[in-house]
Amino acid sequence: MTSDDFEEIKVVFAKDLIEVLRDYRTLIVMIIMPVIIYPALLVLPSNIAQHVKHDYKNKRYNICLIGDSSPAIEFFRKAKVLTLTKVLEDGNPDKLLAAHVADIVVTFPQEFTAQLQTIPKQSPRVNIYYDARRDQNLLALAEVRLVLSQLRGKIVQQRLDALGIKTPQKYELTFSELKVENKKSLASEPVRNLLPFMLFTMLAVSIIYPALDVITGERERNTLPLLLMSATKRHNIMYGKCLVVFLIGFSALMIGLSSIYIFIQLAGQRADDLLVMKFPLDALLMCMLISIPLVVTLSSLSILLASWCKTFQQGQGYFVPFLFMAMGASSVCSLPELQLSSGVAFIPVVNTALSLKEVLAGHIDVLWLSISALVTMIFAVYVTYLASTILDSERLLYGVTDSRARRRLSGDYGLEIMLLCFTTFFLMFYVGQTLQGWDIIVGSLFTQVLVILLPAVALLKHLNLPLVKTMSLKAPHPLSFLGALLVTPLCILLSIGVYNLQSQIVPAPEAFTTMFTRLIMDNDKPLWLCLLGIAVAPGICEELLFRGAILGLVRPKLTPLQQCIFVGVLFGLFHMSVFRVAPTGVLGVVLTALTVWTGSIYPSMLVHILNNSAAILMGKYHLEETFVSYWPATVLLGLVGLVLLIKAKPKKSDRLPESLGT
Amino acid sequence: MSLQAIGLTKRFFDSKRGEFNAVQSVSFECSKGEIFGLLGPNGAGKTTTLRMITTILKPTEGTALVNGFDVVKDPRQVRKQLGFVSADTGLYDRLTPREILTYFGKLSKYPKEKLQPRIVEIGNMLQMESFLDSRCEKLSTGMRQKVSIARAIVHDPPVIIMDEPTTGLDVLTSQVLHRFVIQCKEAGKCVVFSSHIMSEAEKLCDRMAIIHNGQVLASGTLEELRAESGMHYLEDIFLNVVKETVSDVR
Repeated sequence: MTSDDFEEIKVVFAKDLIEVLRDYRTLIVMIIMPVIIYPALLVLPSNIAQHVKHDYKNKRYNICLIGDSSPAIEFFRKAKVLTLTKVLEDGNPDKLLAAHVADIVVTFPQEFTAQLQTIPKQSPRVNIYYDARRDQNLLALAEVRLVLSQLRGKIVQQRLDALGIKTPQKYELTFSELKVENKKSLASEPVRNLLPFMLFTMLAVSIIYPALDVITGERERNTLPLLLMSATKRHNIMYGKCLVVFLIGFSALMIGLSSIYIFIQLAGQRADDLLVMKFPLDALLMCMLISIPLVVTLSSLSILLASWCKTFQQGQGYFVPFLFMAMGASSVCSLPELQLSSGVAFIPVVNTALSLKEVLAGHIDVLWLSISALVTMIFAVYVTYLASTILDSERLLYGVTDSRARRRLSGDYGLEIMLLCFTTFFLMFYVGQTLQGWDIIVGSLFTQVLVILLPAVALLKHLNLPLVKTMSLKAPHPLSFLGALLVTPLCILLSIGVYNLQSQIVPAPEAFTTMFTRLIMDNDKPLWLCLLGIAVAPGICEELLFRGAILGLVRPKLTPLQQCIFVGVLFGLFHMSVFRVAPTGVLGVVLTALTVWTGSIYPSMLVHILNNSAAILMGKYHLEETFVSYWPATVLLGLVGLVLLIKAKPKKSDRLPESLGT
Repeated sequence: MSLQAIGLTKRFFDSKRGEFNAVQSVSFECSKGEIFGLLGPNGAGKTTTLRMITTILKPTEGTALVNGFDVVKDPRQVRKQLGFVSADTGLYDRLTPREILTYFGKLSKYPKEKLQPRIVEIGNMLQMESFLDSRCEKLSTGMRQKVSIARAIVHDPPVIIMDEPTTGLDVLTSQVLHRFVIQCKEAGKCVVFSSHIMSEAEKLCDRMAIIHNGQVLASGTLEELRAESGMHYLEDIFLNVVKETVSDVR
């Protein structure tokens, strides 16, 4: 960045800030809501809960007894929260309840006293009537039940005495609840639980309007073309605008947090232990500090989203899910086992939520907090840069698009790839999981054919693309097969290495690590069927999808290196597990490189089949450690394989074509 | 040559019409101190042509050179050479004309120390002194158009593109604008002026091109067009050229 760039950012920032601050709507979300609404939302529910609890504690309930209640009257009179208002020989409970004579009515049989003296054929029936629409009556009901159980206890005791049976001595146990509060904790539990949610919501609400105003507003008011006609760099425009959104969001947050602090000091300290709202000054300052990366990220994301909107109305529609997602991200704070050091520090937004949770709980890990902040900042800069590429989109400015045929002619299959990935992931999630739930091996076989292979082939057929050419279904140099065969153990070793490395950052639970072994051991299918369902079928079908269809479709637009990374990452994500994404992603990159290098899909199919077979066999016969111990031989074989692959490099005419043709 | 359009073509796609060329191989030139008119009915392709020259749209084929800079290869340099006025571009309603002019002056890297005197100078030239510090939301259409013009020239660009700038203006404001166009010419600027008002073009333009259905059908000075068509008034010449194309198509 040069001083010119900073100057451009400063100019855009200053103008947009003035413009945004002159709009009363910005002032509402920036000042009015944080000062009044958010603190009230945080403190009032807790205060209301305290009042309700206080009411419940002090309220007494009127009770009416009907029938022969004499054995129970004494107990009801002693009950703490019950006031015995009427004792009737006969009456209608419903009428008494409707006339509000009693909150609860208990009816006893007419000869209840006599029945207790003998052992009747049928147990005496005591009915309790209450209005279930009033929640408070549940407390009275509980008290009535307690009284009746005391009565039952007395009756049992009398009968035991009559039979001359001595009961063991009673031991009274006294329970007392002692709440141990973490002394390091900066804020009390209700604040720790509610504040992240409030903070995320507050921030999302406060940045939506300014983001829409400075980007979508320019588009809608038709001032954007003039800005784009100026010599200012697009990304500098975006950084300037992002800074404005950040400043509004950060100000709203500061005002909101300060108001919450003041509210809690004034209204939150009167409660008992359970609902105490402790939010001291150091917690306030830490919250402000920790929130900076969050404000930066959400500002950049809102700028990106606003860049996609043509109108304010469209923007409001787009921002509703954004608001929900921002609020949802704060829910990670309620996951008890999730810690910032467990690799989550690399996930923007979520890492800030966790940082907040840990700091408020008094666990301040400077290293992970710094990593989290750094990752978030880099992410925000990238997202803002990405947004700047959308700013002058002809489609968004003037609705200019290319026809589908022309897009395809120029090798732009972006939409089709997105559709294929979405369809496959969707089917994998719903159909694949259902099939594999029914039978893991046979289900996997069906999944590979129906969910993975079929959509890919159908799409290529629909696009009228030649299957053989697009999917690189051509025989490679014979040495390529031998090279691929020798490289396979190295690929397996690489996957194991990456998995172990990833486990250092994101440790997989034991249930996951043993899942594959159990999957093989616990089923009664023969080994050949396991190999067919879990090794051969994925080796063929997944290769045809990733190294065939997807690689074929991205080839015209991406360089070989970009192809490897794109297809590899997609392959990693396809395995839908955070614990497998890195090893499968790396394997995906290697397999793509193999296809790109040899010009044929068959060597990567071979490596994929052998890789999966090895995983099954190592799981079944516990050979992983033995295999890893032979790593020098594996590396040596791999190197020989690489040399063979280099030797087998196809001539230029035999390499993969960039243009697919139809 | 200050501005050269070389075979500019822009293809659009519409789900109803399919693919069509909104602009097809449009070529023309405009020199310093010259006003070039781009005449055509609504939907002829004037605005699309000018948007390609101002780098807002990328040409499907062809290119344009602005003061020697290519719109496709060097759009940022092109933008530095240009001032653009249009009837439909918006203004920042919550800013004053002075703030808008300062903003665009700074964005165009106009020397800081000269910027405020330049704003005063433009304000005098376009009779904007009375509303220079009022918010744009309170200005009339004519006043807003003056602000648009001032914004386009605040950085003193050598090439000025005007896309139907008098649309919706009253006679008095149109007169001010016409005077301003002539002043630009006298100051040695290259002015490209699009319009569908023939009398306006007749009065202002040194040379002109008649554009219809995305194609340039005739171009030259008014005298050359008169000689070619045998008609005196530009409106008649225009109708004649356009009619010929329509009958050709039929």
